[in-house]
This record gives sequence, C-alpha cells and structure tokens, in this order.
Amino acid sequence: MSEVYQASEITQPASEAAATAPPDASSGSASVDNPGSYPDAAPGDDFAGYSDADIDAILAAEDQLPEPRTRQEAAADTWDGAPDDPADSELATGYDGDVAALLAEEQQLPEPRTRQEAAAATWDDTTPPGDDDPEAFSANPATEYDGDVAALLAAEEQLPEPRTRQEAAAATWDDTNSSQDDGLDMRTDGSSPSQPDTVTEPPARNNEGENGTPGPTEGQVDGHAQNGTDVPVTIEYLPPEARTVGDTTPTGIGRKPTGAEILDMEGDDRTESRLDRLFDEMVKEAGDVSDGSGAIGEAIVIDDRSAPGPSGHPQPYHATTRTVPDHPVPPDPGASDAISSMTIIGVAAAVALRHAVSALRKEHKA
Amino acid sequence: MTNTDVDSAVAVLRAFLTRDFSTYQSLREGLDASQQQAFAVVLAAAFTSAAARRFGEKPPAADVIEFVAEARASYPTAAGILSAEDAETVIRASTGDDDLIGALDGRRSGAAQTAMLFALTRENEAPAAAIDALLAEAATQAEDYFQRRAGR
Repeated sequence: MSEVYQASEITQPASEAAATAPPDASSGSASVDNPGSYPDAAPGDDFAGYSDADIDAILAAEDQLPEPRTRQEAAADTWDGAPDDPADSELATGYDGDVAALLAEEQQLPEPRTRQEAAAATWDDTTPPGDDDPEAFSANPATEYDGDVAALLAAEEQLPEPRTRQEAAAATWDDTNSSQDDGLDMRTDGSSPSQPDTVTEPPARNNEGENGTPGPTEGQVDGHAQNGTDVPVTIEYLPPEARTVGDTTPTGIGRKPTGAEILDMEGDDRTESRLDRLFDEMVKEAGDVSDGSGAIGEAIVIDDRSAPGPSGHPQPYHATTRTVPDHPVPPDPGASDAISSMTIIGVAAAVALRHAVSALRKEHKA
Repeated sequence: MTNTDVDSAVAVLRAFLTRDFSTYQSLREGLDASQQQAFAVVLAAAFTSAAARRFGEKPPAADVIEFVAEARASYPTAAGILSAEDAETVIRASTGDDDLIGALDGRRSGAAQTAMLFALTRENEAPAAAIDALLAEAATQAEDYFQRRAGR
C-alpha cells in the first residue's frame, strides 16, 4: 500500500515540475511551442497555456505511472515484503492468509458448551475435586445429580423448622420476658405483660408431613353473629412459605385478620355508637317520647278492644268495611221462633201482672 | 338514673305489650322525668332489637313498606295518628340507616316506635316469655347506656 502512495509521490514531482510554474493562460502570455508540433491556434487545443515541452513531459510522466491495479493486487504487493507472503497462485484463487489464520485460531478454541456445562465447570473451580464432574452431565440437566445442590439441600435441612407468626410471637415473648418468668404465663387475669394471647395460639398441626414439611393448619372457634346466633369461624394457619407473592408483612406479629373479622371488630363499636346516638336522641326528648307513646297506645287500645277475636287476633282491616244489602235479609226461622216465643211470654207476663195489680187494689179498698 | 327507673320503664312497656292496657295507662301516667328517660331508652332498645331480628341489617325497602302497611291496616285508629313514613323511618333508623337517627321529633318517634314494637310482637303472637326476654335485653342495654353516659 505504501508503495502505491510512493509511486504516486514519485510521479508527482514530474507533474509538479510541469504544474508548479504553469504558464498563466489568463494572462495571455504566449507559450513556447515547437514549430509544427502543437499549434496553439489549432481548434480543440485545450492546452493552449502549455508549451509543447510541457505536454511532452506530462505524457512522459503518465507513461511512467504504474498500471492500474485492483485492491487485491495492491494487497498482494503489500504481502510481498512479509515473511508469510502467500504464493501468487493462492492469490489468484482468492486465498487469504488472515482468513486461514482465523480459522486456525478457531480450531484451537474449546468446544462449544451449554450454560449448564459452563456452570458445572465453574462449580468445579470452587468445589473440591470429585464432588462435581461437569463431564458427567448428560443432555438433560434436570436429571443430573450435582454435589453442590446436595450441599444446599443439606444446608436447608439444618435451618430451623418453619413456624407460624404466632409461634414466632410466642418465642419473642419468651426471649423478652425470660428474666421475669421462665415460661409462658398462661394466667388469664391479664396482670402479666408477658402473657401471650391464648386466642391467637395456633392449634397443633394436624397435617404436618413426615419430613417436617408444614402444611396448612385449620382451627375452629365459636363466633357470634349480630343476631346472637353462634357461627363457627374457621381460622387457617399458614406457614410463612405459603404466603402470597408480594406479602412482605413481617412474621411474628400475629395473624392478619380477614375482612369479615375487621368488620366484626368494627361492628361492635359501630353498633354501640349507633345505639348511643339513638338513645341520646330519645333521652333528649324523653317527655315527648312518653307523650307520643301514650297517644298511640290509647289508639291501639281502641283498635284492640274494638276487634277482639276469639284467639285475641286483632280484627283485619278489611273486616271493618261491610257491604250493606239493598234489601234487609229476612231472619232465619230459628231466630223468628225465639222472638215469637219471647213476645208471647212477655204479653202473658204483662197480662198476669195487670191481673195481680187489680187484685191488690181490690183488696186494699176492701 | 337508677336501675329502679329502668325497672319502672320495663313494667310500663311489659303491661302494654301484654295488652294489660289499664295497667299500662296508669303506670305510664305516673312516670316522673327520670323514669320517662328510662322509658324512652328501654322503648328504643326493645324496638331496635325486635326490628333487627325481624328485618336484619339494612333490609330492602319493600320489606319495611309491606310490614308497615299491614300494621296500619290492622290498627286503623292508630294509623290515623301515625303516618307510614314515620313508621318506616324508625324501622330503617334502627336497622342500619344511621342518617335517619334523629330525623323525627320525640313525639313522632315515640309514637312510631311504640306502634311498630306492638305490631312486631303481635305479628307472630309472641308469648309472654319472649316479651320478657326482649324487655330484659332492653333493660340491660339501657343500664349499660346510662352507665356509659354517667362516665362521659
């Protein structure tokens, strides 16, 4: 490559020699032409400002320029001075020594390997020999036994047993109150600050696995609905591992209440507050309340007395509206007989009474 | 406020609910100011408990309207004094609609609660024992309320 530039540089002085002092064509100064050679007045003469000698020099310099060559030829010239210069025949076939060197370098690279194999090799560097053999990996990493994985599992075995938040809280109580009492204070008078909340004490696990794997634990307590009925409430104790993703609540502070339990907790206060408001209103106007109660009570007494039923049921509202027939309904035969008998008896009694009075008057006169 | 006042209020209400009207009228007219306060609280407590058992928390409006309509039909004289709106208001105020607490004045509220309490106990022919239990619960609530009030 440098030779190319050198060649150009070499040829340049000749050109420069002709160009460094070019005749000023614009100045109109006449050049020195060889007679009969390159007449300046000839049509199409673009070198009117040059003398014939200059033109000859230019042409001579052009003859000395190297032949045009391709990039490959220039590269081959460059290789000429290098010790690993390939033969010209190789250049003709497109052989490139660098490519061969790259390929040779590639041949020396280690064989391609999977990520698992690379990881195994890394483990080899950090673990004692013999514990791990990356060459023993098969195509299925999932089936591979790895001594380091076994070591991790063994370390996990040495971890403390998973415990519930309640257990952690109880342990915390133990640690902070060991100087005051040796164990859990189960007194129920609430006088000891170290008394754990026996309500939140988790029940014994009933489904713990053989390998100590904790499972969900359920307990039941009796709850009370607002109407006073007993409602069984199921409490589920879950190990910390069973928490949902994103649950960052620290363990050891007790079970989180459910929404229903929160409502229950607030419900007592809300109901009490509502009743107090209602009672306050009633007390403020107790006299009017009593008067209103008395007034409506008298009306109810009237309704109750006006419609006494055989069983004490108040008379239905629609029973008070009776339809009146256009024509009186004739009394039934039994009723008319009774009326007739009563009339006859009455008349007879009146007659007898009149006779008796007459007899008494006569005796009195006599 | 003493427990005796609460007991007197309970006696008045028991006479009324068991339809011993002559006793009811005489006892009610004999209440002094303190006993009237106890009577107002016992009445509200008994009515609230009975309404909560009958309707539950925040019942549908249709349930309340239907009950009030039937009660007013059963007691036409009382219906002439007590409006359906007042009766529905006290029921809804006692079953969770807190905004209606204090919506009625004392006289209308007392009349409505008394009439609806009577209708609630008569609806299923509540026996005397059930009425006694209801009044005992109301008396307890009233005593607790007066104790809290004394501590304020």
